[in-house]
Amino acid sequence: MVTDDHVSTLRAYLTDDWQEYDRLTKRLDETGSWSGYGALFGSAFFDAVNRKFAPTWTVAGVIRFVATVRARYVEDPDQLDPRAAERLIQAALGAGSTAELDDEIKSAQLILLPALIDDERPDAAALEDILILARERAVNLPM
Amino acid sequence: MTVAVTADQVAALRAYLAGDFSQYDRLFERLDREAAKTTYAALIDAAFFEAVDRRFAKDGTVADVIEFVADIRSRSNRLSDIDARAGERLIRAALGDGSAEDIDDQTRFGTEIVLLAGLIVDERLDDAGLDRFLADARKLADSWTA
Repeated sequence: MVTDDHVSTLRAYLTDDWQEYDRLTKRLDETGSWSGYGALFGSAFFDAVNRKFAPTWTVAGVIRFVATVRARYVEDPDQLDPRAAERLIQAALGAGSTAELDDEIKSAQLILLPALIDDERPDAAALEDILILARERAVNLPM
Repeated sequence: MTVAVTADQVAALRAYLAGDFSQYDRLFERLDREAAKTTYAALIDAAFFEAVDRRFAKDGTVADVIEFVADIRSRSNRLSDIDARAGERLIRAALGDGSAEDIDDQTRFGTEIVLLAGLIVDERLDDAGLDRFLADARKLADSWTA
């Protein structure tokens, strides 16, 4: 189940509010209530990828975007495996199943999602819309 | 005994870099297999080193290398199979940044020749320019295997 705390945690993550992020994740740790956050994060990622690339995406476009993230967005390009990132984005676009992807590949979304959101440069209101949509999708996912 | 790069080997690489793949296949088939493992490999290494140096040594950044490899990989389906990290490591090692010793020979030469072709295409060399480039690469390779 996706809670308000999950949404607040993701908001803090996406706005680089690390003090707030630390406070909230500590609370999630203490209350053992992480369940639901993964679905929220994954949904936000799915939506962001599709906003960026769908409907007419190309492998070339995905390759170039991942390269830009590694070249310009992260401090150490080795933090993000290019093949994992490309596979994950393509799975979110419907090419390949996410069920086949292991945790290592899925962890690419931890870097990709903030990069995708930064790219969109949403103001506060737009970010709220993004989070609301992600929450709705996450809540409706089959368990 | 000094083993030097042969004219046949230069001709084969030249055909590849000029985009004449059927000529390349024909010439490559005729190369002596044993010699290919040493001197032809050295020629590819040397040509790669030269081309990377020309492109990146002066003011290239790690970001430029990453984006260059991605650009090559994005040019066709076949090229998208190139291992991005191996490509980046090979370029950076040629620039003196890190090592690529652990990359197996097949990956190394397969990746180098594709990136080399991309670098040469971008330089838009005419025939004389390509000949001069290969002459320099040949000299460098011979100095390594001497």
